[in-house]
Amino acid sequence: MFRLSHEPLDPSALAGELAAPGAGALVTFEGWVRDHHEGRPVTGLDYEAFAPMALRVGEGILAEARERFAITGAAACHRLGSLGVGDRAIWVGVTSAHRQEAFLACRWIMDAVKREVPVWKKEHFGDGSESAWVNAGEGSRSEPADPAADERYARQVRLPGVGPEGQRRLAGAAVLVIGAGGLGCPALQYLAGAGVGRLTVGDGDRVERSNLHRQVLFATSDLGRNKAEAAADRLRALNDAVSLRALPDAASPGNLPEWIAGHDVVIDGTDSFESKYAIADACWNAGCPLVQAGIYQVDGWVQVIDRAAGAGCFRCQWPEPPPPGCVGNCAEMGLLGTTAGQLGVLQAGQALQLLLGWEEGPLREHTLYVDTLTGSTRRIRRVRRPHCACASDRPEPFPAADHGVLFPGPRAEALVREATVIDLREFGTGESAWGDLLQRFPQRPLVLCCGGGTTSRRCLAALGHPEGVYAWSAGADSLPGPGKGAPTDGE
Amino acid sequence: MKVKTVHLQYFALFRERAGRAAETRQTRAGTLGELYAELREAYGFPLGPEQVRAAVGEEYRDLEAAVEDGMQVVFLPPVAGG
Repeated sequence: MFRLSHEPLDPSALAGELAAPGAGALVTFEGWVRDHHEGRPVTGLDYEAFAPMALRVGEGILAEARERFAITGAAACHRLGSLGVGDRAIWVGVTSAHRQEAFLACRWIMDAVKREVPVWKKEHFGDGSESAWVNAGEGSRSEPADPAADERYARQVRLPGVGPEGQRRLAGAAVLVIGAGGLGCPALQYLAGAGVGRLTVGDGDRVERSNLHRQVLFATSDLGRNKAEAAADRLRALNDAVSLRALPDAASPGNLPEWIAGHDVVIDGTDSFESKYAIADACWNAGCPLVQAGIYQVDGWVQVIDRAAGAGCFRCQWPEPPPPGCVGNCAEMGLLGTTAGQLGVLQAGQALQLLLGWEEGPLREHTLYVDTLTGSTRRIRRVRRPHCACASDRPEPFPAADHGVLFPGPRAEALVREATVIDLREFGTGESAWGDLLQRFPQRPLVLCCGGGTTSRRCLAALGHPEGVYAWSAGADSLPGPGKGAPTDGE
Repeated sequence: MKVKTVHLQYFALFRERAGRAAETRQTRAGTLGELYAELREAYGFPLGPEQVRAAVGEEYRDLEAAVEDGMQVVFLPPVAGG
């Protein structure tokens, strides 16, 4: 419900209207009148609105927020009339089952209201003078410009197969990139450059120094920041026509269905078999085309798994993940940044072709193997495996691949509550720090956790996947703890 | 069993372990699975046959498929890095 009010705003009454049994979190924002503006003292201000349009635009923003975010309710009220310093000018409230979505949606709504709702203000300055009536926001947005007419995209619009219609398709499309690493960074850069309208970045890791040689979205000053958030900030600067959303969590079978919903294509830029299987299974179940890639030193592969294509699922090709530790990852085997870059750009190219509706280009039925050392490539045709679970009309949800990696969920959380949990950040994240870990902590089950989930998996692999030892796949913040695990809690 | 000539290519881990990207080899293996077992023995590939894909020409093939004289075979390990 979007409202305008000439009376002072009553936050508890407004919040009360959002009460719902499914709501576990309420996030509110209040804008207050402050006593200065651009260095001049302010004693108060007047707000005026073009009410019918303001209400319509405001309702539209709340409706769009309910589409974009998994929230249970949203409301906003803008004050009109004469306000003094400290008065509430606007109130925004969002409820959701889990706090993350409410935080994101609340900010998004406030930004959109400020940008789009026609409200004007006149400031009263301390010296008795007044400002002119100015738009209360950052400038009202007129009808969005036609992306096909934007000089930024002129070269690609000229390409046969794109054209103005293709450019508008890209502007209306949404891509989820999971993992803002060596593959995800270049993929995201090119998707933002191409003008894909909505990009969502999911990653629970923080930027580390050893990432920078290949994860070229990040600057040295980003060290320690969450990758999804740092990537989204950088991409906004690259192309402000793209709507960016950061999901600062590790992907898991639990959150993937929610992440994937509303996207046209998913790019998997993760680097472990656990996540590749989890993402492939979730995309298959959602019917969302998935662009995958993998790297081993100078070699890589890329392919599209698309339920509509008839070439089977990821499990048709690789029925089960390999045993832990038998195939090295990038941290163990090393790689050039350019190898990840080449494969990531190939993924972005596949995504663009899917969005543009090109029939022949996307690797829906083939895997492309690339040897970046010699430049040789090989396309191999994939086929459905007759007895794969995906061959049935109503495929059962695939089981999560784990090998001792615990994805958030009831079973894993029950195990964690019984277990001894150690945070690897207290011991150092390098392998040398883990030598005597198993002797120091003989308790079983033993759960390893870290800031984002990558180090714990790496440690589990380095320790050789001992019996009774597990890696928590998401960050330590998401561990179930006392008072956090009860299902009635909103987090 | 008849000796056949096969043209092999290796990818990623297999190329590393075999120390070569390609070779032409004489074999008595009847199936691709037997051929893989022979190579695993020769080069110490760390993966069991259930973890490996083989492609003949431009298509994935089951390891039960017969080895034919003059075949172009690629063995592919699973690769997840990124």
